[in-house]
Amino acid sequence: MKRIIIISLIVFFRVNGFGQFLDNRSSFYLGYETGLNLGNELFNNQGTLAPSFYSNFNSICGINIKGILKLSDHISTGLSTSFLYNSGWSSENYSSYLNSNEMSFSLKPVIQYHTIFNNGGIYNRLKLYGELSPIIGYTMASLANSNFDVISAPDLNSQLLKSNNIFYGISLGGGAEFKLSNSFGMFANLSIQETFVESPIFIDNRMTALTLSIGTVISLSKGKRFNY
Amino acid sequence: MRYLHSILFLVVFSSLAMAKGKYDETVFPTESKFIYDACLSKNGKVIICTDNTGLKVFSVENKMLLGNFTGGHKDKVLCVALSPDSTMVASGSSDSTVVIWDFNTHTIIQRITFAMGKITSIKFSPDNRFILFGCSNSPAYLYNIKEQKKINEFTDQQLDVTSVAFSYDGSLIAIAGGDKIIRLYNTADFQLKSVLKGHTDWIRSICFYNFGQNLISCGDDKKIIQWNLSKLDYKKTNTHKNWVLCADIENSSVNKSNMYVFGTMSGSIKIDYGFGYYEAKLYFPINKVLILPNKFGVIEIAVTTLGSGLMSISATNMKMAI
Repeated sequence: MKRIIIISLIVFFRVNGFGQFLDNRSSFYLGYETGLNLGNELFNNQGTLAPSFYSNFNSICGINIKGILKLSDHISTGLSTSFLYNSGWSSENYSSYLNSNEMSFSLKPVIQYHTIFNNGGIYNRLKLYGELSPIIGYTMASLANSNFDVISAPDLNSQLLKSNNIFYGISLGGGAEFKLSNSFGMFANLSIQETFVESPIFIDNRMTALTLSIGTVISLSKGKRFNY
Repeated sequence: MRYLHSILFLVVFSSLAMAKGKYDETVFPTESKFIYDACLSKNGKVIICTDNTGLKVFSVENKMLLGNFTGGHKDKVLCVALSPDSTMVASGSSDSTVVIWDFNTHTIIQRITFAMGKITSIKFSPDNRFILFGCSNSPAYLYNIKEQKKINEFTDQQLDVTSVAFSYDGSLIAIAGGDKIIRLYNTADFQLKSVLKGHTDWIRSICFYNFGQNLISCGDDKKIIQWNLSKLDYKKTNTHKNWVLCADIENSSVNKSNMYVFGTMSGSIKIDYGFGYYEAKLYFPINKVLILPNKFGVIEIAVTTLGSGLMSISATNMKMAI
């Protein structure tokens, strides 16, 4: 079956490769996002070693929505939002955050540098891009068990299982967009993001994640100067 | 049986991928698949088209290459016009230059370099003395070929000029473009005579017909409007599903319904012959359509596409609709 799919793709590219797809003025990307938390198992905060909260989550999944407006032949700008869910915390030597999870919502003003569509060939339907964006977001961490004993106010103990915080950082990524028609296509985007957060329920203040988004591109408006 | 599904999948997929040119179109042997403009000689026997940074001349009848115009432009040629006496060819390019060529010797007569934007449309006056050309940065210019000087600059347009035209007697100039308005100027004093408002998006193409009494226009609002210039009103409006990039119409008496053809961004071509339509779908943006001289009652058109070159299609190979 693999061979057949490869042959079909070759036939498809060969036959349709010279078709002109036009670079649109605005596009919407809707994708499934998954990833990998990077960083060490233990976090060192001024000599204090503790299991890292973010780095030990084994599963990231969520959705990503991005709107892009073309400014010039190679430059586009837009806004990207991600809703991500971190789960599956595990560590070889610790069980501090077992069964904990974290949800985040982030907003990224994106500046994108991309290739232009050629008149023919594969680059008539394939666009490569790199993008840079600052990130601001809201994270909702939820612990299964409290790691803190609050002696002075025992009734606060339950509140320390949850913490909602604002985080900020930067994201650097790149990807490819493949057009199936003038208004519809697919994309894959790989990005690495470094963000900073302060929370009362865990010691680490830094999240590093590598995320992969795969989804569809819907182009809304065509460029008026497409033919010159 | 093991591979039956795979083979069926391959056959269906490949046939879907190949299901495009099925109108027995004849493709002219151009270098580029992206042909931006073309024009016919007065007798309709010769067609001149843009081809990368030059021009090519073909015989309409047997599609043979008759001539090549090269070395005039540094960037792609976007528009071309043949003088009514068939002695000169003018071409406008993305490099902002206009070149006037000798049609017979294929040599450059003049190179005009004062324009700032890309040259998007060009036409000769009926008396062969002037050329009118529009630019992507909004002005249009009237240029005297013999005196080698700019006669007038039309600056009323707010956005790109996409199409210019002379009326049959040369008394009127029409300029249209991104600002959705068709402006008519007297050539005697270059004063604005009237404005035609009816389009709600960029106008892509305009063309006088019925010996200057009517004008056809089309644009990104998907409309094809036939204007009555004596009343400055619509004669007929037709709406399509996609941006209409080009239209051509035959000359006839005022009271008769004129056959016209138009091409769209999505590659649809439609010939409206009064009692119905002929349709074709090419899957490439259609930048120019020209009605070829009628031979033995068969309607034939020349089409320039962005992606599939210059071709001629006979209505006999097109789908018929009422």
